[in-house]
Amino acid sequence: MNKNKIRVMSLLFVIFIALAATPQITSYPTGLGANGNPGCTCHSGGAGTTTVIVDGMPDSFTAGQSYELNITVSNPSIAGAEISSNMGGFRLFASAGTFSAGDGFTDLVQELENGMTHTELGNDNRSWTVIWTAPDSEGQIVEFTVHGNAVNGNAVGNSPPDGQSGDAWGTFETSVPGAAALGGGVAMIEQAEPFEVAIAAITFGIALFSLMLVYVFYRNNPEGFNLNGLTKWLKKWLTTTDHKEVGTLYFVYSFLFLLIGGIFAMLFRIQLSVANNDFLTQDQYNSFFTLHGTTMIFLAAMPMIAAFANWIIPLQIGAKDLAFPRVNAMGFWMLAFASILLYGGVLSGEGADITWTMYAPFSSSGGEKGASAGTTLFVAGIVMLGISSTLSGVNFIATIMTMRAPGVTWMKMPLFTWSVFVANAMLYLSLPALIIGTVYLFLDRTIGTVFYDAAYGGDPILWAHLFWFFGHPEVYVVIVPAFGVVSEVLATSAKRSIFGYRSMVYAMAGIGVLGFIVWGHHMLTSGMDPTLRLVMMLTTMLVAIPTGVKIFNWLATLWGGSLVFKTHTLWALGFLVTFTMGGISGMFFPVAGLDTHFHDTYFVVAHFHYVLVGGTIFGMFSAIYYWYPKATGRKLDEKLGLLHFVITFVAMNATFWPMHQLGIEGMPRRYHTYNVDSWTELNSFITISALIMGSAQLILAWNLVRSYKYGEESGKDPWGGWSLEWTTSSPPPTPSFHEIPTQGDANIHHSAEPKGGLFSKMWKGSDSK
Amino acid sequence: MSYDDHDDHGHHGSWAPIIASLGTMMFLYGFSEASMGITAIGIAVLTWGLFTWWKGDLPFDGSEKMGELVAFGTPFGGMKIRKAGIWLFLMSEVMIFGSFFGAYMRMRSNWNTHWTLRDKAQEAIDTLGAEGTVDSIVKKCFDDHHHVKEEACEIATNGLVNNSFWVAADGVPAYHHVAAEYITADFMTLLPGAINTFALILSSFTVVLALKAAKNTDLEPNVRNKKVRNYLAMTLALGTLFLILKLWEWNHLIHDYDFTISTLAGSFFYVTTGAHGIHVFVGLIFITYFIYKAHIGGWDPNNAQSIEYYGLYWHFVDLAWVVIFPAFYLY
Repeated sequence: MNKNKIRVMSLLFVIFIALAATPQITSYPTGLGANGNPGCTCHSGGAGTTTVIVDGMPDSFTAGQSYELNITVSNPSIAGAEISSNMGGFRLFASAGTFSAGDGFTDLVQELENGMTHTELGNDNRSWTVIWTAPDSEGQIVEFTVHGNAVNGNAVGNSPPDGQSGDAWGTFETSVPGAAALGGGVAMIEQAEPFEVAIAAITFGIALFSLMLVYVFYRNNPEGFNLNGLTKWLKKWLTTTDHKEVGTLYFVYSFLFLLIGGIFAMLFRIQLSVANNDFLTQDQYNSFFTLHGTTMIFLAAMPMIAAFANWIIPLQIGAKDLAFPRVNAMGFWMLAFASILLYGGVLSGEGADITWTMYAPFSSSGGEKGASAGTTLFVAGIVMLGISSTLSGVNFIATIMTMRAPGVTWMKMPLFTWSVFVANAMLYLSLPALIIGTVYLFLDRTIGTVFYDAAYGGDPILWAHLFWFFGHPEVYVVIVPAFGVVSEVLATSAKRSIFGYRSMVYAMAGIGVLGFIVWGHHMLTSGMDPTLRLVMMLTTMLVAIPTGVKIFNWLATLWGGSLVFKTHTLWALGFLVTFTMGGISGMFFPVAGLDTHFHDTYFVVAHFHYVLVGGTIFGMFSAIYYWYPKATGRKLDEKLGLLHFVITFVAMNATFWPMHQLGIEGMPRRYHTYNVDSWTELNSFITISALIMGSAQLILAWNLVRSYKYGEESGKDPWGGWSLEWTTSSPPPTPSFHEIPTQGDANIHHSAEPKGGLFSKMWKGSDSK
Repeated sequence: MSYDDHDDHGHHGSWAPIIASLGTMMFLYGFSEASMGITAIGIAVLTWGLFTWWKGDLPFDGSEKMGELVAFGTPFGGMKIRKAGIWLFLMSEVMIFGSFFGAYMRMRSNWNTHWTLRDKAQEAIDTLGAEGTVDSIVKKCFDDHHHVKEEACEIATNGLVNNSFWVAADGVPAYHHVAAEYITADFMTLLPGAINTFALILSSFTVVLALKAAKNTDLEPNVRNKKVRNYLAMTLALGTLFLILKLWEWNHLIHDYDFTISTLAGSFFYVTTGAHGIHVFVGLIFITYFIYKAHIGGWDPNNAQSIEYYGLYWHFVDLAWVVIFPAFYLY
């Protein structure tokens, strides 16, 4: 085997092991030596020589039954019998069940997060009795870990007595299956839970995905279909630094996660379809909607934007590649590995359950009243996402600032480039607040800092400020590139240059600046100073002005153009409708009085799905249909595209419109279930619509795969676009331009375009001869 | 950061990104799971990734083409693109330290504790029957720095509310003891901080001297590289001194004053100065590589700008310290 093959194989091996291990990951409850939880390393003694024995452990447990456990530590080399105080301690962890003190041990043992430990008085013992009450569900295996230490705390026989002598600890570990888990196959199937449904769906998805990869590889070169060729091919994709290939990686990754996030959404929509439902447990519901939100924002929307930015920006500005190709690849791989951390523990029931907003102090505390154990990994994943976005943000801004070809001046830059520039400037300047916030959170959960722990004077509201200082620019980060796409698509489809180019640029830049001073409107109900509330109210309303400018500019572009209805045009027009509605419902929130009522209701959910699905996702779908020919040399099928658009547009409105009403009626978001029967009707309707919308995306997936081979050949410029990406071949060479091109004038280009009637050219393929 | 990123000549892949990312993930995973083994492996893999990155830039025998792209158009026209990248990266670093400072100043201005004091004051009214409004009780019992005015407070509330009420078992410590209290009280703690400040400023100066030597066309190549090596070694030594003194000072604060991360002020102090320390440490790793490059004679006036870009980063770290030192050590 050559070196590359070994590298590819070992890397793949590690990735697969990591993927396989992901469901099993459960974090150590409070991490490393967290506050008040020193376990048995309190005297920092040596490990190993102490024996820990636990009597009374059952072979399997029955739900709800209590078991008496006797914990004994012994160490022949540490004086025991001759001393009577400060001689030992223990710390017990169990993954499920509850604990209480055994008979006569009330003063000697106490409960601590996920288990028991000794009290100060209990230090004088070397054996303790505790009662463990088994959990209600028998379909699980409970893990026990007992750390015990024997210590000669009073240093009997030492001179001088220093309180530190003879200290050693040991660990006892075991696992006890529930009666049902023991029963084998049949019992396990009876226990089948939504988790298994999700596992099955995702495993199936990944298997299908791998098969698809192998198929694509096979189609590329049927003769070279062997292991050697495969490793070479994989090596190319694992090590690539070309902006187009990294863009493709981003796209495939984001599409996969778009579907996974959709699966989560459909699962908890089933839970919400009727009142008092128990399809999902509360914990499952919490981690599912946490994962849905985080996946959709960080692993689907942003990577998809990054995919188009990667592909198109260098082409649009006439650069051969991005400024820092290796940094670009690093941004992608950071993201890819972060998702493993984010998903850590989800499928074992210990996934993060802290919502995408990760509010402290819930997220910073563990145990019964805090977030589940997988949260630590989740937070680590968010830190990694921060690194990834900072790297790519610096890269894009540097590229756009320094590598524009002649003719591509600031005020002649295509609007998509401008939008990516504004979005990345906002992203990489606001991200540090999130990174620092999550680093604080991560350290709170691992090494025991107290940033968000009110019991130590910590400050949970600090989290909200740091998060939303990032969080609000972030929502513009995902919408502004969609503005850019829609501007390109509408101008090209209307066969004219965009109306009010300068005002479009200033509007986007204005949104970029305003985005930094509006974060307080997410915290209007957090007890903020009324003066500050007023300021945030006004600044938030100001955002409507540049956004309105953009909407009217798009309308004016259509007014003077001769529109061609291609699929990407339909998505852009759909965007205009749904995004405007989402924008209008958004104007209710900055009004502090109304927000007090709407806060945390389905009205909020309706609003941000209208702007995120109806805005970002529609914009990205438009981009897929618009630039797919540039990337592959073939067009997507327009009939499938029409079907995809019609179903998604209708189902999207059917899904999110009724949420407005539910929200006004007071249905709270983030709740596991509801007990108002009159809400069932609308909720069932929403669930059915959501299932339809989710399934409709398979049409797009099929279209993407099929058209790669069978799509209509597109040539250089299938839509009559003006900017530089249409001057290079489809797909473009590597590096992307042999010679640096010069950008011409949009108006001159479009005046040469044939003008058709509104409907004369519908569904006719290429018509820019 | 991308030092020596010159991908213009032909297209080639790199293993570095995927390996370094894998290492980062393993490091964070190990840290979360309190598994020192995985953490260590993660760091090793990350290091492997960085070496792979650098190896792509070897050898420095002049056969490499420094095909570094030059920017055109405003605002960076004529500048090397990497320089623009470093400036942009530093802007995000400014925001990073800005966030540290914002959070710290929020604590110091007592914005965050004020509401907990008000909560306790409400509790005093509800459970102890203290008279007055929440505002009046807070005003009577605390001075502007949220120190409890013990006697005044007891008198004002007819003996109902005393100091131990405010510092109740699960209550709020009324006052955060900040690091500066210990540091300014003890000359031997202040000293390392003061030395560190000068060490960092000096080390910035030696980087500039190294750059000057590297750009000097009058020097023989081996003389130039020797000079560069020596100046950079001085920076390395000063940076190392900085880290050693910092650890010494942390040790002193933890063991002699019991000032740990388990207090709010301690959390802010150690995490902020620690983050700065990590920046210094990363800088030292890069400079070790630069010294190695000088050792094998890799610097010439045509590639000396790498030292300049490194210097920008190093000056920033220096500058951050100049702000951190008064805010965390003296105030």
